[in-house]
Amino acid sequence: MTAVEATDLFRIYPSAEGAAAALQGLSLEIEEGELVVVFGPSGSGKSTLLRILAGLDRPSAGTVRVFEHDLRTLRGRALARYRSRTLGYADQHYERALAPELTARQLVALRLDLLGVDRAESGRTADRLLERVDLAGKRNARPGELSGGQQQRVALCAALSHGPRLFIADEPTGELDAANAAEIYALIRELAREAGVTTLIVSHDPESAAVADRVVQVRDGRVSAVDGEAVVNRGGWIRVPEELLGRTTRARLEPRPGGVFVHTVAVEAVERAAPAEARPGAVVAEAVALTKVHGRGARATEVFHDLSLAFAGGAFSAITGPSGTGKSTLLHLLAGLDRPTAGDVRVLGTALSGLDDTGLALLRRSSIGLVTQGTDLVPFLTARETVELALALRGADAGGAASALAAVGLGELADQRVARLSMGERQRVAIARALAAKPALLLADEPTARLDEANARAVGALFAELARTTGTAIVCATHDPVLIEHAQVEFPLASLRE
Amino acid sequence: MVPIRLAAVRLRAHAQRNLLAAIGIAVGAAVLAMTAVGAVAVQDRAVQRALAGLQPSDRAVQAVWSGVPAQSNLSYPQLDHLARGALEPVLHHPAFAVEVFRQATWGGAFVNLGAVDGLSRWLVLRSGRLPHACTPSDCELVQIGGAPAAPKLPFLHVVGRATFRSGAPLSAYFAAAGANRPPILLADGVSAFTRTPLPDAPLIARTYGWVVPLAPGSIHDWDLAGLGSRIDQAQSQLEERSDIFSISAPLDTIAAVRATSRVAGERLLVLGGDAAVLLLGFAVLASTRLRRDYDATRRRLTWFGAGRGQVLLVAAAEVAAITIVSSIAGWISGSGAGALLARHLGAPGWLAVDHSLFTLRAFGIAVALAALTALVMLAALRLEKIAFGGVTLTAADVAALGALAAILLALARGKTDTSTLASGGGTGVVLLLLPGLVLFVLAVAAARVLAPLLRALEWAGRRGPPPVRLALLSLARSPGRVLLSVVFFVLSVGVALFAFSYRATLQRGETEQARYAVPAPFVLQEDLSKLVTVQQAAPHLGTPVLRDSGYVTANRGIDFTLLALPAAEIPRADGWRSDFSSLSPHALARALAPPVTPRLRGFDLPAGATRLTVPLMITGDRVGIQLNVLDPRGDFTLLSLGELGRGTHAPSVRLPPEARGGRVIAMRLSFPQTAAFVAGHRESGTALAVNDSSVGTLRLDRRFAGWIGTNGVRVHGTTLRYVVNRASDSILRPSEPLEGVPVPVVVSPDLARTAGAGGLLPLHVEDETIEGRVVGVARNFPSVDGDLVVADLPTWLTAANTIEPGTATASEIWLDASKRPRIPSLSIVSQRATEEALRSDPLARGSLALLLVAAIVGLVLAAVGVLLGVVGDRRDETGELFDLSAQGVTPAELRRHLVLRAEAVAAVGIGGGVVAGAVVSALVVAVVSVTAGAGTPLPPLVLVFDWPLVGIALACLVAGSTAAAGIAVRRLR
Repeated sequence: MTAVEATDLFRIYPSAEGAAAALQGLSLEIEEGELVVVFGPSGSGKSTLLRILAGLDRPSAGTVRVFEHDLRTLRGRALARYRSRTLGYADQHYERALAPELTARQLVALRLDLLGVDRAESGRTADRLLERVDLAGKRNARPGELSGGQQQRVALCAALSHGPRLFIADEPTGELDAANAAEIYALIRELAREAGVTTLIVSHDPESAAVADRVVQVRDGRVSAVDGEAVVNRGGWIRVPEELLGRTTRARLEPRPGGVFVHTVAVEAVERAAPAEARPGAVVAEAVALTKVHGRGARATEVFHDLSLAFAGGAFSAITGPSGTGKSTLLHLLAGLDRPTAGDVRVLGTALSGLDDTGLALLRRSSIGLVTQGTDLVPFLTARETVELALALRGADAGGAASALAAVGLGELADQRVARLSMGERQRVAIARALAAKPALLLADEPTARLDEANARAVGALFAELARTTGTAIVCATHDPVLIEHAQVEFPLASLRE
Repeated sequence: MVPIRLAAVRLRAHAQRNLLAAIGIAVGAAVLAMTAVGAVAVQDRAVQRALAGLQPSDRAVQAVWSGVPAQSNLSYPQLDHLARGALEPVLHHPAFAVEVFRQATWGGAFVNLGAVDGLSRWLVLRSGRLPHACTPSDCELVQIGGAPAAPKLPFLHVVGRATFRSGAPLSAYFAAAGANRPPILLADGVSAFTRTPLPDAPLIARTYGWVVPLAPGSIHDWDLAGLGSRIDQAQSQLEERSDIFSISAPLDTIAAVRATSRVAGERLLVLGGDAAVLLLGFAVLASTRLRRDYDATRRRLTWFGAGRGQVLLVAAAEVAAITIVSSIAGWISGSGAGALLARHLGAPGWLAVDHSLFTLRAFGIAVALAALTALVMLAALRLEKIAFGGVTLTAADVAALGALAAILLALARGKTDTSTLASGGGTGVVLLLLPGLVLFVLAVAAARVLAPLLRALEWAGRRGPPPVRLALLSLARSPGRVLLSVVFFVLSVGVALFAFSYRATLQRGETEQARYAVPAPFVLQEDLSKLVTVQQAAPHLGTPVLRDSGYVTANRGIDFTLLALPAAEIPRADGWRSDFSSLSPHALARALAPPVTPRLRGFDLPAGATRLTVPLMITGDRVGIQLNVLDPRGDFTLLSLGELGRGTHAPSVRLPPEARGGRVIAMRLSFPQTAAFVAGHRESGTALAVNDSSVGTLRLDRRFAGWIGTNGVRVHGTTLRYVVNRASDSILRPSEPLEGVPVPVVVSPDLARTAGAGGLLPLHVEDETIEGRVVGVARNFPSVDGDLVVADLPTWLTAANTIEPGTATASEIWLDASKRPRIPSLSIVSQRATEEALRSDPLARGSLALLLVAAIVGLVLAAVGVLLGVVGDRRDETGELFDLSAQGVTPAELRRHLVLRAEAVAAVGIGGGVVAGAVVSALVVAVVSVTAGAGTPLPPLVLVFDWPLVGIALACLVAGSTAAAGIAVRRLR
C-alpha cells in the first residue's frame, strides 16, 4: 500500500522581494513501512516537503495524499485528527518541540494525554519509551537540564509515543555530533521497525543513508535522484550532478542505444589564482589554563578544566568532539561572549579578562568574526544588508558583501530577507558575513550543520583559502568530517579535557 | 483537562512574564472600578446637596393619621405597629412618632400639646432643661414659643423652653408659635404620652405622625431608587387597615434631586469609557507581547497533534487566568481607591463601594468586561497577521467606518445637556462609547499612516550610525510588529490628553461661569424680602444696570432678558468671551452709544427747595394731578397734587428728601378715584361699559411751556385740554430729542432673525413697546441666560420713561471694589465667592479629581507599555541581540538600539495620541454640555488645552518611558 503519494507539488512563497519557489513539481511515492531518507542541499525544498506532509503548509499546486488523507483538502478537525493520530513529526530544532516547562515524562506523555488516553496509561507508555532510549533516569528532568542528544531522544519518543502510521523527521541530527547522530538514526530505525511506521527523514548527513530503505535526492524543488539513479521529471527535466558536469555551461544530447550521451559544448572560464602557500603565523588566539563551570552548587557542571590551546594566524583549526564537550563554550570564551571560571583568553596579545563588556565588543568588532548557526540573524534584513551591516560596524567598504554572498552560492538570493531563507541558506549568510569582514580571528560554530556535503565542502575550501590568503586564524567547532578534512589542525576536545 | 493542566504549568513557570500584563489590566480595571464608585459618590453628594437645599418640611417621608380614637377600631399601639411596619421598607430607616393636639385647652392652658419620640435631637434649649422621657404619671414638657403656659394637670410639668433646631422635620405638625398662635408644649415619647390621663382625650381629635427624616447624610442616593413605588405599596398597606392613614413624601422634589445627581454620575461615564478603552488596549498590547511565546506553544502543540480546540483551550485558560486574577485585583484596588475618592468627596466610602460595585449590575459589568478583555487578548494572540496598507479594506477599517458613523450619529443628536443626561434615553451609552469609538477610529487611522511614516523615518535615518539605522529599519520593515504598541500609545496618550484638556476646560468653565454670572466683583440687587431699591440703599454707587424681561411677538413670540447698562461700561464687564459675538465689546459699546448722552427733559427743582407749588387753573371736571420727579439718585418720586376741580389752585407738596434737587419730567392726569369707584359700581350692575370721563382745561405756569401730551391731552402753550377716564391716565411731558428714534440694541441671533427692514425690532417690556434697532448680534452676554437685548442704559431709560414716565430705573449695581460693601438691605453677590463656591463644589472636585486620575493612569500605562515593549523585545530578540553582540555591537549600542526603537514608537504614538486626545476632547466638549458641577454651562464650555501642563506631562512620560526602557535593558551585555 502506498503511504505517501505526492504528485507535481509546487509551493510558491510570495515576498516583498518577489516570489520564491520552494517546490517546483516534486513527485514522490513511499510505500507503507518503508524508511526513506531525503537528501538535498539547503534551499532545495526538503523542509517544505515535510511541512506539507505534516499538514503545516499547503501546496500551491499538485496533489499530495498520505494514506487515505488528501492533504490539499484536509481542514479543521480532520487535519487535527490526521496530525494527532496518523502523523509523528520531529523537527530539526528539537528544542523548539520541547516545552521548557514540562519534564521529559510529561513531554512524552503529552501527545497521548491530548488524545484523551488515561493518564496512568500515558505515563506508563512514556516510561517505557524513555527506558527504551536510556533516559529512564532523566524522566523528571526538564529540557534545559538535558544535553542536545538527550533532548533529541526525548523529542523522538514524544513524536512516536502515540504509534503514528507516518513518522517524518527534519534534520533530526543537525545539531548533534557524529556519534550521537549515528545513535539517533539507529534508534529511529529500530523504533520504526518495531512499530511498523512509515518513515521519512530529511537530512544532509550521509550517515543517515545507512538506515534507509531508499535514498531520495531533492534539488531545486524536484526529486533529482533515487538511490543514485537520476529521475526524469515531468517535461523531461533531469538533473545531472555537478561532479559529472564540471563547469559545463552548454551541452549537446545525443541519443544512443539504451540511453542519452551528453556532449560538453561550452565550459565556464575560471581564473584560478595560484594557491598561496600555507605560512603558519603568530599566535592570534590563546586559551590559557581555561576552566569553565556551568551552574552553581550541586548543579554545577565542569565543561573543561585547565585547558590550554593556541590558534595561529593563517591556520584553519577544527575543534572536534561529541556534543557536550564544550566546543561552543570554548568559541564563546574565545570571542569574549562568555567569561571563564578560571584561566584567561588572549586574542592578538590582549588578555580578555582585562576588558569590560564594551572592550570585548570592540575587540570582536575589530578583530573577531563569529559564524553562528544562522538561526539568530536579524530576520528583517536581507542577506546583503546582513553582510553590509557587519562591514559597516567595522568601518569597512560595503562593496565586499556581494562577492562574499556569491562565494557561498547566495548571489541570487542576496536581496531576499533572511526570514525567507532556509536554515541552510541562513547559515551560509552567516559564513559570508564572516568571510567579508576578513577578521584576524574567525570562529565558526558548526558552520556546516545544515549544509549538504557539496556545500560543506565548498565552505571548508573557502575557510582554508581564507586562512591561507589573509592570515586569518580560523577556529571551527564541528563534527562534520568534510570540514575536518579541510582543517590543518584538529583539537579533539574530548581528549584534551582528559 | 490536559490543556488546563498545561496552562497551569505554564502560568507557574512564566509568572514573572505575565505579571506586567496582569498589572496593566489590573490598573485599567481599577480605574473603571474607581470611576464607578466615583460616579455613585458624586451622585450621592449631589443628593446630599439637594436635600440640604430642601425646606425642612419637605425633608421627610411620613405617615399621618388624624382622627378621634374613640371613633377608631385601632388603638395607638396597633396604629404604631402598622405605620412603622409600612414605613420601614420605604427607606429602610426607622420612623419616629409624633402626636399633636392642635389648639386645645388642657388644664386651663390653650396650647398645642403633643409629643415626639427622641425629642431632644430636634430642640435647642433656651432655658430650664429638656424634659425626661414621658411616663403616664409624670410627663415633663418643654415649651416652644409663646407666652408661658402651664396646664394645671398633676402629671404635666413644663421644665424648660426651647426652639426647634434648623432642619427639624416637624413644621407640618408644629407651626412656629407666633403672636396669634398658642404656644407648643411637647413631651418626649409618644407611646407614654398616649397613656397619660388627659381628660376626655379619647374624644378629642389628634394627629399621629410617623416620620422618616430625609436629612442629608442619613439618606443616600441609593436609598431613593424606586421610592415612589415603595411609598405606593406602603400607602396601600396602611389604607387596607385604616383609610384615615395617608403617606406624604416630596416625591417630585426627590425626582428632581435624583435627576441632578444622575447628571453628575452619567457624565463620569465618559471616563468609564476611557478606562475601558485603556483596559482593552492594554490587553491587546499585552497579548502581542506574549504572542511569540504563544506561537511557540501553538507550534509545539500542533506538532504534538493537539486539535485546534485544545490549542485554543490552553491559550484561553492562560488568558482567562491572567484576566480573572488581574481583574479581581484591579476591582479590589479600585474599590479601595474609590472608597478614598468617595471620602474625599464627602460621601461614605465603603457604602459608595457597596452600592456601586457590590451590585448585580456591577458584577455583571465586571464579568462582562473581564470576558471581553480575555476575548480581546485571545483574539490578539491568535491574530495571524496585522497589516494595513494599500487600498484593501481590512476588518478593522470596516469597523472604524462603522464607529465613525456612530460618532456622526451621536453628533447629529446634538448637545447632550443636563436634561438629556437626566432623562437618560441612551445618552449614557453614547457617553460611554463615544471616547472609545473616537479613539478606535483614530487608532485605525494611525495604523493606516504608520507604515509610510516609519518608512519615512527609516529614509531620514539612513545616514545615521548602524544601531540607529538598524532600529529604524526594524520599524520600517516590520510595522505590524510595533503597530499595536503605537496604537496603545495613541490610546493611552489620547486618554491622558483628553483628561487633561477636559479638566482644564471644566476648570476654565468654572472661572468663566463665575465671571459670566457675576460680571463685576460685586453685583448688588434689591432684596425682595426687604424691598429696598438699589437707588435707595446705595445711591451713586458703581455702575447702574437695568435688568428686565420682555418679548417680541414675531416668530410666535420669543422671550428675552433686557440688560441696559452704560455703553461705555460694556468693555469693562467681566465674563465676556470673544466667541460671543463677531464684534468686540468696544465695537458693541460704540454701536450702542448715542451721539449725545440722552437725559430726560423737564424743569429742575431748586436745590434747597423742600416744597413744590404748582399754580394752575382748571376749567371743567375734577381731575387727579401727579408729578413725576426724577430723583438725583436715578429713581422716580411721584408727587400727588391731589384731585382738583374747577377753579384756580396752587397746590403745594412737600418734597421728600430723595426728590430734592430732582427734575420734574412729567405730569400725570388721572380720573378721580371716587368717580372711578362709582363708575365701577355702576358697571357691575350692567353688562355695558360705563364711559364716564373727566373733561376740562388745565392752565399751567411757564415751566410747562412746550410740553406735549399723550392719551387725551391736547396742548396749546401752557394750556391743555384733557379727557381722562378709568382706562388710562393722560401724560404731559416735554418733548425728547430722540423721541421716535429707535433704540440701538444688541440682540441674540434668534431675535436678530426676527428684525424687520433696517433691523427694526419692536420690543415689549413692562407693558410698553419700544422700538429697537439691531446694531449688533451676540450669542451671549455676561449675566444673561437665553435670548438677550442689550442697550445703552441712558438711551433705554429715556426711551422707556418717555413712553411711560417714571417706570424704568436701574435695578442693580455692578460694583468694582476690592472689599465687599456693607449694605445689609441689598442682596450682594460676590464674583469671587461664586467662583470659590463652584470650585469647592464636591461634584466639581470629584469630576476634576477623577479626570486627573485618568490622565495620570493614561500616562503611567503608556510608560508601562514602553517597558512592556522593551522587555518583550529583549526577551523575543535574545538570539538577534546575541548575534549583533557577536558582530561587535557594544552593550551600549545594543541598549541604544532597543531604547531608540521604543522611543521612536513612543514618539509616533505620542504624536498620534496628542491628535487623538485633541479630537476626543473637542467632540466631548461639543457633545456633552455639562459643567464640572453637573450644571448647564453658562457660558457654553469652550475647549481649553493646558499646553504647559500637557507639555510637562508628556515630558514626564518621555522621561519615564526612557527610564523604564533604560531599566529594562540595563543588564544587556
